[in-house]
Amino acid sequence: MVTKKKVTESKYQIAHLLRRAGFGSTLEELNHYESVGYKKTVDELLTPTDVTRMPDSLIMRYHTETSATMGPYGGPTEWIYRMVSTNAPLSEKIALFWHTIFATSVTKLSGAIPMKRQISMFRDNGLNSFDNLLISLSKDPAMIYWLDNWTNHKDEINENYGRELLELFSMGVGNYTETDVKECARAFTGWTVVNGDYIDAQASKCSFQPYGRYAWQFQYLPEDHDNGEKTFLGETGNFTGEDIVRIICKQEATATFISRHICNFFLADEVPVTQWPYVKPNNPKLIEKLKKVYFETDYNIKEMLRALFLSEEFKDRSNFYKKVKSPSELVISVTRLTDKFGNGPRLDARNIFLAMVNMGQHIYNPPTVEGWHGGLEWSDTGTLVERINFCSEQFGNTESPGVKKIIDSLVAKYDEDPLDFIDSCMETLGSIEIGDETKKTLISFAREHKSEGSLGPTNYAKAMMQLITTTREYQLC
Amino acid sequence: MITAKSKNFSLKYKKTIGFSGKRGRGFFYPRDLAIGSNKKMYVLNRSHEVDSYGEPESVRVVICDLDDGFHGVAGHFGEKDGQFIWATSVALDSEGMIYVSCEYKNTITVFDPEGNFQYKWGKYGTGDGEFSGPSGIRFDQNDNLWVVDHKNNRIQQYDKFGNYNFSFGDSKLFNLPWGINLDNQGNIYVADWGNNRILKFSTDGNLISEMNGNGILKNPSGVAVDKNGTIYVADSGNETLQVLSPEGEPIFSTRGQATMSQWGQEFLDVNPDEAYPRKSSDLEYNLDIPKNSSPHTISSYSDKYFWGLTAVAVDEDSRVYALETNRHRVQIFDPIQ
Repeated sequence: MVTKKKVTESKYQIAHLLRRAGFGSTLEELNHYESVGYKKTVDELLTPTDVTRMPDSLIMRYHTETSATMGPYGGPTEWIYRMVSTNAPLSEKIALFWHTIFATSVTKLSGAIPMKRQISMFRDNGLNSFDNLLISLSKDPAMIYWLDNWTNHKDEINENYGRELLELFSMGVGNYTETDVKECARAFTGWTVVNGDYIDAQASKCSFQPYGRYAWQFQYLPEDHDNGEKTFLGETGNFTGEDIVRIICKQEATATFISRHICNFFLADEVPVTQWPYVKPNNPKLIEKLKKVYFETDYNIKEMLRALFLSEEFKDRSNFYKKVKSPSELVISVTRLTDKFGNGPRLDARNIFLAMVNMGQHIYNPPTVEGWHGGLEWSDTGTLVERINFCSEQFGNTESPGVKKIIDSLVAKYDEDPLDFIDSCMETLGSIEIGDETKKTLISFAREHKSEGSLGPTNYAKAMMQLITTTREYQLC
Repeated sequence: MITAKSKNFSLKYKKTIGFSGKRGRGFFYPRDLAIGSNKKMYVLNRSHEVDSYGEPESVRVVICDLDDGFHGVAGHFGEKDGQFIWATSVALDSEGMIYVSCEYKNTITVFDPEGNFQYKWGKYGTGDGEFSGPSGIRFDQNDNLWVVDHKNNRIQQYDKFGNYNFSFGDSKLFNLPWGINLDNQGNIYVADWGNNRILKFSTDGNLISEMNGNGILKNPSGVAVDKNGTIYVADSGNETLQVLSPEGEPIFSTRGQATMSQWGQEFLDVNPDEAYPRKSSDLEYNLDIPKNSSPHTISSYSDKYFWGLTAVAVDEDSRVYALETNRHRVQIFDPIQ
């Protein structure tokens, strides 16, 4: 299929980068980043300056439940506003990344204040050194309660956190022994939360009386810490939790595990993590490159991402559209593009969250400690209908400032021939690309309605946007 | 430090009323309160989080009193008459009729003193008598209702039946104003939320003065004035009750001193599995919290600090009522002058 208009390869690459490191882009954002160039775009994404987003005070004024977060909507709604309104999308994307790996659920916590603080910790520390992140994670009150480390005592070990730290959070199955799990757990004894008994009493009954919930705090109790000698991954000493993290981070297996996670989330879908010991990665050479950066930069996640985004593999067209958009990626990208919250908070913000849930991703509540498997598992007959209906509904809502703006710009191009008009639509929607067969269908639709004049300019533009955003290709990023 | 005092003015903590409750007695994300006769309090509850019954019954006006009595509820969540979606403020006229503003439906809904729906008015728009997000509402001594039409950045005056009288203000003056109140002389005080200040107007809408507490106010949401002209501000951005002299000088402030309310104690008495661990817990802000935490974040750890301080009211005895959205309660103070 011949494309008459020419979008530069550089622009396509930046659009690809913004889909992976962010939530897609508007035409204006894309034009801005094209003007600064690919490398500087990577820099801006990794180290944003002049960060703006909708203020918490404004969100809380309308959505009272986003602050104390006792019910099911408050926490996710607050995060959705952040993801939609921020000009630093990678900060939110990295929080989603770690939320997927260090999967913690609000259902056990019963009250979202600690979940909200955990997501905030991912946002703040998610691009730092992996050892710092693991220390923060081990001190995170939500994680301590979620994986029972608050009941991990020197006289009565609870291995739950120690096991998941090794299996799902850092090294992966097959790289440690059962003894290592026990020794790891011993090192984290005494790492607990303040007021654990009261937290448990409220959480186990979903109680919010008499005065609601309280924020949780980490507490180290030296009298409950096992000070004995431990042997962990071949090293022996009087290890603390910090020592355990230090030993974990210098393992080859950890570098491999984190590099593969980064490739899985930002480059191309892999098989679920439980199959990694048995299935080779899609991009073993790239993983080796990232491992090298991991060790050279003291386990720095930001530098690993920089290496990924600047790699030829990432920019190669063979890796475009290799990922199924997660529900959060689809929903947030559409909501940003349509500028649904452009006039401020809206009552139906919760519907954005519910749309994600109906598509299979309940943020704040991953299905298991493995997080979401992703990839093709996002799409079945039920969720596909949800995805298509959501896109069609949002792009059909001309009250949204972004939709109105897009339609106005496309109406001005109503006289273009159908092929050019479709190209204009795709450029306006963030320089997306679609396959030849899909394009033929769109052209056929456009020619039919253009010749008949059955749709006026506004409805013609709206219908074309709805069609494009409900294509198979739009479900990919 | 919990309080800051001047030589001539202080507030003495009296008691706390309320506890978290989704229906009947109790408050759930309360947003505003009005003080009636016979020590009665009318507490407007805002949250519309869907509960286990599939409908947020928590949205209601709870009628109670200073002695912890519970007298019933008015209103409900919904689109029908007598219901609201995003309820913002509650006011009482001279006959004790209850008025509730809803910034989503753009309506004022009226109930009789027992909570029965009477009538409503209002629709969306920018013209005279139309609303774009009515927030704070209060009556003057002549039974005129003053309405903060917050997204239109103006103040409107109506009679008690909803007949429009006049309005003043625009986006050059206001930035999403919220609470409103009047003094004994009929002067109007508006919490100009987005501009971090209190504005005082004459009855005909002329600006008299601007007060920002020497720059300390941050997103004030509620304001009240006692019979001496002392001004009380729900300084929501600082989670602080600020007291200003009639000239606008800061003379006192408090972060709150809550103790267990009677309703809360009754809950704990029948739930010892929560009462015992609560008793041995440390629910105060004296632990390892990052130094640069916002007042809002600090309050989330504390039992006695205001958390979600939103509204303030003063009764005829100059007793001060400070309402906290996130702790579902009202802290009450007596003035010492």
